[in-house]
Amino acid sequence: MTVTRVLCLWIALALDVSYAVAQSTTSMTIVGSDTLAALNTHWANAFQTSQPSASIDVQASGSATAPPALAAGSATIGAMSRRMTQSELALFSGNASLTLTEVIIGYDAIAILVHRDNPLTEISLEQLERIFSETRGCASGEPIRLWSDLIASDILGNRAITPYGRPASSGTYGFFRHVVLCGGNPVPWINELAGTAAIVQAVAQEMTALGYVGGDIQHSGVRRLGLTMGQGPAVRPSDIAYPLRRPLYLYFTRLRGEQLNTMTCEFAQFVLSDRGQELVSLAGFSPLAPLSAQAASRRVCDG
Amino acid sequence: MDRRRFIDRLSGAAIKAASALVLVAVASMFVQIFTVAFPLWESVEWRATSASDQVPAAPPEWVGRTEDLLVFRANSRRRHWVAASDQTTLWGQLQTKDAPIEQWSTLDYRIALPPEFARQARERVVMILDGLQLLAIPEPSGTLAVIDVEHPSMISQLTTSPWDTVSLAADGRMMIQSYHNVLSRYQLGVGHNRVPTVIKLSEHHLAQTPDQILVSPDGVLALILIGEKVLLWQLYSDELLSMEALGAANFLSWTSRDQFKVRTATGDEQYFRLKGFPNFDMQQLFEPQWRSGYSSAVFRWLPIVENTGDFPMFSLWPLLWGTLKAALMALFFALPIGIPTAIFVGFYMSPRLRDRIKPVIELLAAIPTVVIGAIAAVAVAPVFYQEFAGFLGMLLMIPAGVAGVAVFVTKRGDAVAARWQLETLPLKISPLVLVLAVVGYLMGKELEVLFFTGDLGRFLVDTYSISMAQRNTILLGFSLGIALVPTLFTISEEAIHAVPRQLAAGCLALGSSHWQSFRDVVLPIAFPGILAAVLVSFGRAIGETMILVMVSGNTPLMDWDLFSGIRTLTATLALELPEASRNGMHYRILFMAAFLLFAFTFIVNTVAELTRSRVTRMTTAWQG
Repeated sequence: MTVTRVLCLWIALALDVSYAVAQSTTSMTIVGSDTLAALNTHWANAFQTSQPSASIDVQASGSATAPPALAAGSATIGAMSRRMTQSELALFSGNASLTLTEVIIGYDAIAILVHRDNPLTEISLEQLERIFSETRGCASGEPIRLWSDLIASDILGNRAITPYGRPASSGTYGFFRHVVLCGGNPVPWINELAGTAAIVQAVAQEMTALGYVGGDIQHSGVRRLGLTMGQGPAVRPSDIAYPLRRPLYLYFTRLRGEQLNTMTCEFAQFVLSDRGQELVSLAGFSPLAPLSAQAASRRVCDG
Repeated sequence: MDRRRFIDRLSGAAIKAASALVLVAVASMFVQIFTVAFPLWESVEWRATSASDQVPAAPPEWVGRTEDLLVFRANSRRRHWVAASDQTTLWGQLQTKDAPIEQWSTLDYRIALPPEFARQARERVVMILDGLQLLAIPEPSGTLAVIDVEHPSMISQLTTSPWDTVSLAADGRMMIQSYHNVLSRYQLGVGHNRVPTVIKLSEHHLAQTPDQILVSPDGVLALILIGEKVLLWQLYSDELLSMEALGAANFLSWTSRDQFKVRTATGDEQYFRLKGFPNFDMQQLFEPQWRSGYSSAVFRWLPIVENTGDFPMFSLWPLLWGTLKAALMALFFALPIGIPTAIFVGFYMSPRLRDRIKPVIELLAAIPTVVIGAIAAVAVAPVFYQEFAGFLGMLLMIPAGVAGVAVFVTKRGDAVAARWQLETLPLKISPLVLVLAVVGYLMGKELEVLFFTGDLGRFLVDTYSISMAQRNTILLGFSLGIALVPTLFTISEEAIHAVPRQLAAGCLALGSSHWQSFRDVVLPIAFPGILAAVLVSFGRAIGETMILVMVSGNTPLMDWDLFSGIRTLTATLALELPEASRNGMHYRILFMAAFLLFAFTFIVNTVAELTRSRVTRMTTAWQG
C-alpha cells in the first residue's frame, strides 16, 4: 500500500518536474566563429537575464564548424565571421526539412597592427599586397621585404618586415586574402599563429612585426594603422569607409516553409535591438546603422 | 595452491590481453588514418546532375560588341576581364568585385592593336603574372602574341606549333592545343626582365583528331571531345582520368571547377558533376608546381579551407623539411647536454649520488611541453633579438670555460684531482657554469659593441642582409632541445649503467684511466643503447607539437636559414585539421600527412627498440 503510494507520488513528481522543465526552459546552442565568441556570450547572458526561461549554450571553435552543426540539428544558431560558401549552403539545399535565415549583425574591421614604438602610422592597400602577397593578384607592383621601403626611420633601419597572420582555416585569413591579395597567394614567410591574442602578443613583442587581426584588440603594446586608398586621407578602422570591414553573420535554422520558432525569433530580435547592438560595439565591432537594424529586425522572423 | 595458480594464470592472461589491445589500438589507428586518406586515389567518375544544382557563374554578362569573337577570362577572384577585337582595336572591360559590398564595378578599356595581331583568333586570355597584366592571343599558325595591357606597344611573339583547337587556362599559366591527333601542353610564364615565356611540357598522340578541348576554370583538368567520347585529362600529372561515351555531344563547357555542361546537336543540354578527387595527384604533393604568378616551379603549402575557387597548393616538402630541420636543430642542442650528462652520471658518479641526481634530471620530463613553449614564445622570443650577441657569448663561453677547468685540474695533477674528487666534480663546478654564463653574456655584449656597431642584429642585416625573425629555428631548436634532454639522458644513462661494473673495475685495476676504461670497454657495449636514445629523441622531436605550434611561427619555408621560421607536419595538423571541411581534399591530405608522420615515428621507434634490445642482450651476455 505504502509502496504504491510512494511510487505514484514519485511518478507524479517526475512528470511534473519534466513538464515544468519542458515548459520553462528552451535551450539554444550557438556554434561557430571564435572571433564572435565573446560577443555571443554577452548576448546569451543579457538575453537570459531578460528571458529567464531561455538557456543558451555557446560553443566557439571556428566559423567552419557552424554549417555542419546546423545541418545536423545539434545547434540552432550559427555564428560566422564570413558568409557561408556555396558548398556549405549545399548542406541545406539537400535537406528536406531545415532551411536557413541569414542575418548580418555587425561589422568587424580587420586591423593592421604594428608595435607601439613603430613610427609608421598609415599604410596603403597596395603596399599591404606587396608585403603579404607572393603572386600579387591585384598587380600592384614589386614586392616589399624591408621596412626601409615603407618608412625611413632609425629604429627600423632596413630590417625585414615580419608579417603575422591567421592560419588558412580562419575567416579572417579568407577575407584578407580575398580583399587585400585579390585571391593571390600569401608569402610563405608569414607567421601564422592560432588565435587573435597570439598575434597581438607577438606584434607587441617584435619591433619589425606587421600583422592583421580581426576582432577586438585591447593591448597597449600595439597600434592600429590607418589605411589609405588612392589620394585620399587615411581611414581609421572605426570609420564606415574603412575598406577592410567584413560583415558578421548569424544563421538561424528553421523548418522549411515556416517562421523561426518563438524563442529563436526573440533572440534574433534582441540581437538587432538597441541593447543587442550596444553589445556589438562593446565587444569591439561596428554595429549596424540603426535604421537597417530596425528593418532587419522586422523581417527576421518571417520565413 | 590452486588459488595461487589461478591468480597466476589470470594475471598472465590480463597482461596478454592488455598488450594485444595495445597492438589492436595501434593497428586500428593505422587503418583509420589510411582509410581516410585512401579515397584520394579512387578513380574519378562523373554523374549527370540537374541544371538546378549548378553554381551560377559569378561575373555579370558583358554587353559590348559581340559580333567579333570574345573570350571571357577571369583571373583573380575579384577581377574579370572581357575582351573583344576587330581588325584594329581590342575592346574590353575590367570587372572588379569590391569588398565589402560584394558588388561588381566595371571599367572599359580600349587598346589599339598593332596590325600584325589584328587577325581573328579563337582564344585569348588576360593573365596577371608576376604583377604584369598580359593578354595572350594564340594564332592557328602557332604564334602566341602576348601584349602587356598597360603598355600595348610592347608585344612578345612566342612560337608554339600550329593547331586546330586550343584552350587556355583562366589564369593563363596552361595552354593545351591539338593539331590533327597530336595533343600538346604548354606552360606560360614570365621570365627575367618581364619577358613572357612558353615551355612545351608534353605531347600525346590520340587515336583521332579531337573536336574540342577545354581547360577547366582552375586550370587543373581538361575535357577532350572526340566524336562521341569525352575524355578527362589531369594536366599536372599528365594522365587520363576517365573516358566515357556521352552520345551525341557536340559542345562542352565548364560551369564550375567540378561541373560541366554538354550540348548535343539538337540543342539539348546535360549537366555533369565530377565525383572523387580529380584535382589530386601525388606529383602535387612531392614535386614543384608551377602556378600563376610564379616565375618558376615552387614548393608551397597553401591550403584553401573555403571553397572560394582559389588554387590550393599542397606540397608536403616544406612541412617535411620544417619537421626535419626542427628535429635536427633540437638534437644539436640536446646532444651536447644529454649524452655527456648520461656518461657522467652512469659511469663516473657514485651510486649514492646517482640515486639522488637521476630523478632530478628526469623530473625535467614532467614539465609539459606547452609550458616550455609558452616560456619560449612569451618570455624568451621578445628578448632574443636584442640579446642575441649575449646568447652567442654564453654558447661559446660555457663549453670553453668547462674545458678550461678540466685542463686546469688535469695539469695540476693528482693532488688536486684527489681533493676535488672526480665523482662530484660537476656538482662543485656547477656554480662556475653560472659564472661562465654571466661572463659569456657580458663578453658577447662587449664584443657586439666593439665589432658589430653595438647591434649584432642590425649588423647582420646591413652587412649580410640576414634578418632575424622573432620565431626562428635557433630559438625553436633550443626549446625543443630542452624537452628532449630527459629522454636522451634517461635511455643512454641506463644503457651505460647496465654495463657490468666489474668490467670497468677490472680495467682500472689493470692500470687504465677512467676515460680509457670507459672508451674501450663500456662505450662499445653501451653504444647501441646511446644510439637508441638518440633515435628515440629524434622520433620525439618529429612528433612534438605544442612547442612547435607556439614557437615556430608556422611559416612553410624551405631554406637553410637558421634565423627564419619553419612549419612542421604536427603543427599543421594541429592548426588545420579542426577546421578542414570534413572528407574534403584538404582534410584527406592532412590525414595522409598524419599517415606519413605515423609511419615515420613508427619506423624510428622500432629501430630504436631493436638496438636497445641488442644492448640488453649484450650486457646480459657479459654478466652471464
